[in-house]
Amino acid sequence: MLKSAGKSLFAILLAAGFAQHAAAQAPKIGDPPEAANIRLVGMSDLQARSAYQPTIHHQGERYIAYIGHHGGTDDIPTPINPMTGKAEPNGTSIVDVTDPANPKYLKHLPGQPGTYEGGGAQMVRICDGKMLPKGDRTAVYMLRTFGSEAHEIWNVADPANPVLITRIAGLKDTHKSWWECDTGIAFLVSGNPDWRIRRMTQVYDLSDPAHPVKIRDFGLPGQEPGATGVIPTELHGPISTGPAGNRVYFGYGTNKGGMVQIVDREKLLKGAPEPTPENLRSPEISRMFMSSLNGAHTTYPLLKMPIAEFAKDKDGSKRDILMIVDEAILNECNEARQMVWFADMTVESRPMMISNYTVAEASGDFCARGGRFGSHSSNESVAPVFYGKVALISFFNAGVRALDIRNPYSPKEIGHFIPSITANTDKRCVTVDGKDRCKVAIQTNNVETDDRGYIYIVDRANTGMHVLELTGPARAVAGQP
Amino acid sequence: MRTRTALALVLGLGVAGGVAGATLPVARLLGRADSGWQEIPWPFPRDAWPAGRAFRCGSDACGGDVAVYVRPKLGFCNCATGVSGDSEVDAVSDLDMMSEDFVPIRVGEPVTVAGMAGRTRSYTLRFADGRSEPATGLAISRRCDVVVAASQGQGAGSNEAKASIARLLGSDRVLPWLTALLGKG
Repeated sequence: MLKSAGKSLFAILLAAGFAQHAAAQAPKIGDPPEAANIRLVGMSDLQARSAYQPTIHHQGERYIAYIGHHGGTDDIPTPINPMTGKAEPNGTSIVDVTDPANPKYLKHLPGQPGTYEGGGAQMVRICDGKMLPKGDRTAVYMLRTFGSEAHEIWNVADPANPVLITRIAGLKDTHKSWWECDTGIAFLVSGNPDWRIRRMTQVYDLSDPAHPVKIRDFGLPGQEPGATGVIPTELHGPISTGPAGNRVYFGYGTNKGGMVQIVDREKLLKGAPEPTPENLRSPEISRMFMSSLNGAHTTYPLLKMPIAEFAKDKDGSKRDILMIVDEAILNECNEARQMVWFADMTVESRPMMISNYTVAEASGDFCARGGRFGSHSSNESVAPVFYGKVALISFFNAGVRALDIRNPYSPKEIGHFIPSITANTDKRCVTVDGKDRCKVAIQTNNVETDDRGYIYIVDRANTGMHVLELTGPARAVAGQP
Repeated sequence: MRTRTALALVLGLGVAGGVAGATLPVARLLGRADSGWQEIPWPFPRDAWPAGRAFRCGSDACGGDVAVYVRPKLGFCNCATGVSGDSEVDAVSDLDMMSEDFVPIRVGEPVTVAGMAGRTRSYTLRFADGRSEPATGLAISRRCDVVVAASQGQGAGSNEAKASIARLLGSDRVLPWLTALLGKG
C-alpha cells in the first residue's frame, strides 16, 4: 500500500514536473503568473503598446504613472486608442495609480510615428515646477523623448490634458535621460549629427523648462567631431547625484564593451564646453572597464552603505557601491549572459567589481522560452522604502526579480514575478534555417518603484503594466509592515 | 568616375546573384566568385563578438595582396535605419582590430551585397613603428544585424579589391555561413 502510494506520489510529482517544464517553455494564455514573495496588485494593458520606461510621480494627492513607449510593431504600427477611437503612434501613457488595485488610464499622448526603436517616446522624467529653480510653481513638467529626433517638455499638472511647453529638436537617437529636479540640469542622451557615435550626452539647463539652455556636449575622447581612429563605446545612460553628491555615473555599452565612467559633476557643468579631447577628459574621475561581453545599461549608486560584516573594521565599514545592470538585446540567449554587477567604488580612482547576480536559466528554461532572457534595468527611485535594502531588476522573460542588497558583496534573490501572457503579448522571433521561428513570452523591460513601496513593471511585448508588492520574507527585508 | 560605375555594376551583379540565391551566373561572368581567396586562421584575440572568418588573396583579381576579416555582429545595427552613415562604418567595421589608429581617406560609398545594403570606406592604417597601410571597412545590414568586413594590405582600397571582397561575401563559401548566423537574435 505504502509502496503503491509512493509510486503514485512519484508519478504525480513527475507529472507536475513535466507540466512545470512544459509551462516554462511555452507560456499559454490563462496560465497563472509565476511568483514568489511578490504579489500582483493591479494592472493596465497600456492599450497593448510596447513599453520602455515607467516613471511614478507623487503628484498632489495622487500618484501618476508616466510610461514611455517604443514605436509600434510591424503588425500594428499604430494601435487604436480606445479613448479616442483613433489609431495613434505609440507615445506616452499616463495612468492614475493612486489606487494601485485599479489603475485608471488617463491619456495617451502620441509619439513619433515609426516602429520599434524607430518611433514612439521611450523615455520620460517628471519634475514639479515648485522644485525647479525657475519653473512655474503650479506646473508639473514631463520631459520625454520624441522618437529618435527630439526631447519635449509638457506641463502635466492636469495629467489628462498635457500641454506642450517646448521641444528640443535637431537631435538623433534620443534615449534614456536624467533630469535633476532641484537644479533643472538635464543629461539628455541623444546624438549630435556631428559626433562619431549615435548616442552621447547633451547637457542642458532646464531650470526654466520654457527656455532650455544648452551647456555642452559630452562624451569620451575619440567620439567627438574630427577625431580619427577607434571610437569608444557609445553611451547608454547617466545617473547624477546632483550638487550634494557632485557625481554623475555614466554607463556605456548596453550589452557589449561595457564601461562605467565616474564624473565630477561640477567640472562637467563648469568646464570648457568645446569638445576637445582635453576638455572631455577634464571632468573624469575614473573609468572601470567591464568584460567586452557585457555592457552597462543602468548605473545606480548606493552610497555610504553600512556593511554588517565590516562593522568592526577600523576602516571601510561603509562602502560606496555602484549597481550596474547590463541589457540583454538578443532573443533566445544568442549572446553572452547580461546580468547585474556590483562594484565597490569607495576609492573612486580604483572601482572594483565585488559581486554579481543572474537569474538561474534552468529555473525556468528561459533560453528556450522565447524572447530575450537577461537583465535590462533596475528601479531608479531613491525613496527610503527600498533604497539600500531591496533592488528590483527587470529580466525580460524572467520577469522582475527582487534582490536583498543589504550586503552588496553577496546579493540574494528574495522574490520574483513573471506576469501571465495575454492576447496582447507579441511574439518574438529568431531565424532558424532561413525561416522565422516565433514564440510568445513576457518581456519585462523596465521597473520602477514609488515611495509607498509599490513596484511597477512594464512589458516590451505589449502586455502592459503590472503593479506589484512584496510579500512575506521579501517584505520583511524592506522593513515594510 | 568610370571606375566607380564599374564598381557599382560589379556589386549590383553580385546583388542580383545573391538575391536569386544563384551566384553562378556572376561567377561565370567574373570568374569563380571567391577565386583567389584562401581562408586563413582568425588572427585576432577574443573581443566582444565571436571570431569570424579570415581570407587572404595575393592575385591581381583582388588588386594585389589583401587580407579580409568577416563576421556578423548580431543586434548591432539600428533596425530602422540600417547602416546610415560613414561614422557607423568607422565604429563597427573592425578596423581597430588591425590598428587603433585609422584615418579615413575620403567619404564612403553605398554598397549592396546579397541584398544587404550598407557602406564601404577607405582608410589608412597607421602603426606605432611608423608604417602605414591601406585598408577598407565595409558594413552591411539585415534587419537589426550587421555584417562587417575589414581588409588590409597593399591592394586594399582598390576598386578591384572592393569588388572582389563583395563577390567573396556573396559567394557560396561565405554567404550560407552568414545567412545561418543572421537573424538569430
